[in-house]
Amino acid sequence: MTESKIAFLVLALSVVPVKTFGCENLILETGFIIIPPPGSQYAVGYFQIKNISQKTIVIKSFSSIFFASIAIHRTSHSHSKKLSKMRLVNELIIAPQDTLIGEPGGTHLMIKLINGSYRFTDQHISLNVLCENEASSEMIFLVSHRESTH
Amino acid sequence: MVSEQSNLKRKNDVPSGILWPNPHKIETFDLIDQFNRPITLDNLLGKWSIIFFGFINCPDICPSTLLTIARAHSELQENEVYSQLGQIIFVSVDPERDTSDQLSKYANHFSPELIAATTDIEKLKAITRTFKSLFLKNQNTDGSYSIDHSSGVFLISPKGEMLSVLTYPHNYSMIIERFEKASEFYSELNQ
Repeated sequence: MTESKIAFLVLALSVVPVKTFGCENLILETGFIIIPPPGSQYAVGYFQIKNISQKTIVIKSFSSIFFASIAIHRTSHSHSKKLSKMRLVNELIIAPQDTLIGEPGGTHLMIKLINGSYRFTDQHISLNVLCENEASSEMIFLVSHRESTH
Repeated sequence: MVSEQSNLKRKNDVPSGILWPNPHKIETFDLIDQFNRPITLDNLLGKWSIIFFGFINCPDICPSTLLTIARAHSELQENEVYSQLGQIIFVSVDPERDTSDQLSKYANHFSPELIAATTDIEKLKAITRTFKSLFLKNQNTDGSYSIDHSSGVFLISPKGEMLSVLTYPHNYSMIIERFEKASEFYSELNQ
């Protein structure tokens, strides 16, 4: 193969869009929703999601009939300014065979309670996950209450 | 002469994480707590204070940090100095939503001894300035808002001096350790 053909091939490969895949190849390894302290309208969700496929998967949103809304947020910290910022994230991209971790102080689900309260006694709750290409799947999160010290 | 040498030695012996010499002095401020009582600089003087800024609808770092602070406060009851002089304070930077009633319910979840206070925006700006910090309202595209705020835990001496700032992520044992270092150091300086 000539140098020009190799160069063309490299160029062609670099402009091919990344093929994405549906949600069925995502595994929720751990997922829990922490019901907020009294007075707060927002629960928080943390997770560990693995992409078991050979293609990139893009999560566009989470939803549930049990909550008013679920937004994907990311907290970042500026140590020089000692400032914490929380921002909406439009999508979560999970590379092939990679695991995405949503943890305290980082990526998380900001979950708005319906009428500011949570009345369910279920220990598990199902969230609908919408991926690119309109594919969706259910993920079962564990519901927990933040411990208090007294 | 002996005293100067002694002071120089002390400067070299400053424990890590302690802001010394020339600690920043907290200036006067006005807050109202969950029981509608005024909280001012006078409430800090003569006590050791552990202070955190945040807001009730912050779902991520605020509840986890307050839980950590409350646990440190509880464990520090075994410390003779802290058990007599220690207090924990949460300053809400969201007066628009965080009413005294909300603050009362929220604070009690973490500790019945947690003082939760707020005031109007202008006064909050002044308070965060004196803590060498800031807060910024951030409007989300979905109509909701969040507030960028300090993630530091401030340790204030009985003279109103900022002796230490712990950065995120927080751990209750680190807060305890920092208090112990600071109070021992402070006690030696004031002997």
